[in-house]
Amino acid sequence: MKDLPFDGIRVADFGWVITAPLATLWLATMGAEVIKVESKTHPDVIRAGMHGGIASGPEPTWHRCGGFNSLNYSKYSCCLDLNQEEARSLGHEIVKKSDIVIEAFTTPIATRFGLTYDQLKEIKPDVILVSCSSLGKTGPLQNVTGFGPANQAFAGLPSMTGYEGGTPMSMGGTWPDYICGVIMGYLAVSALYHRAKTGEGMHIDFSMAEAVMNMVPGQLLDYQMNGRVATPMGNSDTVAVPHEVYPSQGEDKWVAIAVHDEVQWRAFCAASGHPEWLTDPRFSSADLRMSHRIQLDASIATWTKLQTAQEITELLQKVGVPAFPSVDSQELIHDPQLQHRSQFIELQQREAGLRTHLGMQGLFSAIPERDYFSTPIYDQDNHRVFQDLIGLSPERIEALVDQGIIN
Amino acid sequence: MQNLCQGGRNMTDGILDGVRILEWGEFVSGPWTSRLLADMGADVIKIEQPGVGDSSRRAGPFPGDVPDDEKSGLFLYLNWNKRSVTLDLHHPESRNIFDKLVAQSDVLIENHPPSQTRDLGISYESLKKINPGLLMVSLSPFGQTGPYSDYAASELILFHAGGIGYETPIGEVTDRERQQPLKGPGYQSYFMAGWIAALSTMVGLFHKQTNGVGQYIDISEQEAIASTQRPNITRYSYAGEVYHREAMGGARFKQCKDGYFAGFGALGNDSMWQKLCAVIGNPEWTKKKIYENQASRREHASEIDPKIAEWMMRYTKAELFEMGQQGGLSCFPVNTVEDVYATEQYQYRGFFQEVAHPVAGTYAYPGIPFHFSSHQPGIRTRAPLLGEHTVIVLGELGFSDQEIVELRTKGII
Repeated sequence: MKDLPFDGIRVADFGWVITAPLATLWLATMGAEVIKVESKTHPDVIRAGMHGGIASGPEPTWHRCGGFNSLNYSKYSCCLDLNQEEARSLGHEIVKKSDIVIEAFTTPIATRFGLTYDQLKEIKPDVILVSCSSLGKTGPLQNVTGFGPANQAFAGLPSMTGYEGGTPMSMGGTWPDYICGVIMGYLAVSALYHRAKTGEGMHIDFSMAEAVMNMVPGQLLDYQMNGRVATPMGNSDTVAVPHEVYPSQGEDKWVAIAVHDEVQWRAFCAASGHPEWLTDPRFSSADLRMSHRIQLDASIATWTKLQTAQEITELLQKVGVPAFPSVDSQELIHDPQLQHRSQFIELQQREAGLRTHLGMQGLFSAIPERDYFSTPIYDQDNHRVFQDLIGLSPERIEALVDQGIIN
Repeated sequence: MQNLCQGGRNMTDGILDGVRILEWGEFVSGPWTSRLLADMGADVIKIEQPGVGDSSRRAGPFPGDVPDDEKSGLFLYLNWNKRSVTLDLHHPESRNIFDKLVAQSDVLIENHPPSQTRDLGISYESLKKINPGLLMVSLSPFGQTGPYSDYAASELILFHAGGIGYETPIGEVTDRERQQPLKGPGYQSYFMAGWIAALSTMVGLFHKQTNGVGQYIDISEQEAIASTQRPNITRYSYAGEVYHREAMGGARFKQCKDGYFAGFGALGNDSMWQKLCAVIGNPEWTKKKIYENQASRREHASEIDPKIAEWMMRYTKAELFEMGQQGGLSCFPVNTVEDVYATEQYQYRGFFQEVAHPVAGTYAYPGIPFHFSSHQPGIRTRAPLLGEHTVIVLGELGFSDQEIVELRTKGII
C-alpha cells in the first residue's frame, strides 16, 4: 500500500486526445482508479497514431502509439458505443459509482451521450463534472471545434510568436494542450477538495483559449496601457542582451545564452575570452548593446560555433551566466538532471514492448513513489468495469458485446 | 470588500476560504502559483523585500512606458487577491516574524534559488518544527538537488532546456542551419511551472485533509516545460526519431485581406480537403486527380498552397472564419491582442475584467478561464502597494504599535 492521495477515488474518463487524458493521468498516478470509456467505432485519434512515435508491428496502431501510451498509463479501459441508448445507461452506471467525471465534447455531443451536468446530477447529485472545450461552454462560439494549434491562434499566441519582424508562427509542445491538461487536473482536485469538505459536487466549464491568454498578460496589458500590438520577437528580450540562441559545433546544434546585468556581462566577456567586447564602444552599456544587437550576436556566434553547446554551458554556468543547450528529444531523455529527478519510466507495454515514457512532474516528500503501470489495450478491463463494478453477469456482458453496445 | 468582478458573475465564497498561504515569491512562477490559489479564496500574505519589492514590479508594461514600482502590468496581474508585507529576511531579527507567519500558515510557497534558501537557513526540515502540518512548495529552475540544481537560468534558458525550444517555431522552418530554435512569447515556462505547482499544492491540501500530513513539494521549472515533450520522448523511444521544427509543407498561417488565418491548407485529411474545396467553391484547379489523396497533396503542397492563398487574400479573417466554420472546418483567425479584446465570445463570458488601482489606474486584465457552477473563483482585491498590509498583518501576529515602529526603524520591515 503506497498511501496515495487519491486511493479510493474513482474517475469516469470520457475524454480523449491530449488534454483530458493528461488531467486523469495526474489522478491515476496519484492513486485514483481511472476508467477510460472508449469506443472502437470512434477511436481516439492518438490511438490511430497522430501523436508521438509508433513501435513497429502489425496494423492497427492502437496499442503501439507512444503518444497514446504515455498519456494513458496507470488507467483502465472499457468500451461503450455511446451512440446507443443502452450504452448511455451503462455510462450512467459507471458515473454513479465514480467521484469525478471528465469530458471534452461540444455541448450537442455531450447532450447526445448523456454527459451534461444537468443530466448527470439527476443520477448523482454530488457529481463532479469537469468539462474542457476550445472556447468554453457558453457564448456565441461555444460549439466551435478546434485542435490546440488552432485555438491558440484564436487566443492571439502566434501573433507574438516567430522570428523578429516575421510572420506569425506556432510554439512547439502541441501548445496549449499539455498546459490545459495540468489546469484540468487542478480543477478536478479542487472540486474534490471542496466535496470532501462540504459534500457538494460541481460543474467546471474550462476554456482552453482563455487559459492561453492567461499566460501572456504582459502583451495584453501593453495593449491596454499603451495601445501597442505585440508582434513576433524571436528570442529577444526587451531589457536583457545578449539574449539569443547561438549556433554551436555540430549540425543543427544550438546554445541559449541570457545576460541580464553588468555583472553577468563582465563574466561573459571574460569567460568567452573576449575582454575586448567590454571596451568596444558599441557594447559598453546595456542600451548600446541593445542598439547594436545584430553586430553583437554575430560576434558571439563566431565564438559559439567553435565549441559544443555543452562546453559553452559548463564554461558560462561556472561564472554564473545563464546558458543551456537547446536540447532535442534524444538529449532530453539523457538529461542528467531530469534523470536525477526520476522523470523517465520504463513500462512494459503489451504490444509495444519495454519502452521509455515520461513520468509525472514534481517531487512530493509524502508520496515517495507514484502508481505507474502499463497502458491498457482496448477494453481489457470490460469485466472489471461491467461485472465487478456494475454487477452485470458474464453472459449479459457477452450479449452486449455481440450487440455492439459494449464495443 | 469591494466586488471587483465585472464579468457579470456573482462572487461567492471560494473553495479555499480559510486556507492561509504565505508566499515568499519573486517574479512569475511563485507569485503565479499563489495567485491561482488566492483566486480560489485562500488568504495569501506576500513577503517582499523592504524598499525594493518583487522584481516583477520593474518588469512592466507600464502606462506610458514610464517605469513605476506600483504600475507594472505584470506585477498587478500576478498579485491581486494578496496582502503585501515587507520583511528583510537577510536581517537576523526578521526570523522571529517569519517563523510566526509560517506557524499560522497552511502553505508556504517560495521560488528562490536553492543556494539562497540554504544560505538563509530556510528549509522544510527546520520549518516543520515550527509547524508540523506545513505544506511547503518550492519552485526552482532545475529542482532542489541534482547536477544542475545551482545552474543560473531565465525563461529563455528554461524554454530551451525543456526541449520545447528545439521544435519552435513548429513546422515552419526551411533552413535549420540558419533558422534557430525559438522561445515562446513572454514567460511560458514560468507559467507552466506555476500551474503544476498549484495542482501539486491542491493535491497536498487534499492529502492533508484526509490524513493530516504536511509535506515538501519540489517543483522544477525545466521539468515543467519539458512535460510538453511527452510525445517526442516516445518518438525517440518507440521509433528512434528526433523531432524538430522543420516545415511539413505549406505555412500553417496564411495571409488574408486583413491579417493571417489558420486551418486552410493542402495538408488536411481527405474529408477536410473536400470541405475546404467546397468552401472555396470547387474551382477547376481543385479537381486534379493527383489532389485526391493526402500523401499526394502533401507532395504538391507548393502548388496547392499558393492557389488557396490567392483565394484567401480576397477575404477578411472574420469572413473566412464564418465560411470555414459553416463548412465544417476546424479553422480560426490568427488574432492579435487588439482582436482578442474585441472578440464577442470572450466578452460574453466576461473573461476580461476591469480592475481599478489607485496608482496605476483601471485596465481590463485577462481574468479567470473557468466557470464553476458554485464558488466561482475571482478577483476580490487589486494588487497591493509595497508593504500595504505590513502594519495590519504584524498587528494580527500580536506586535504592538511601538514594536512595529522599532522594526521599521531598523529596516526589518
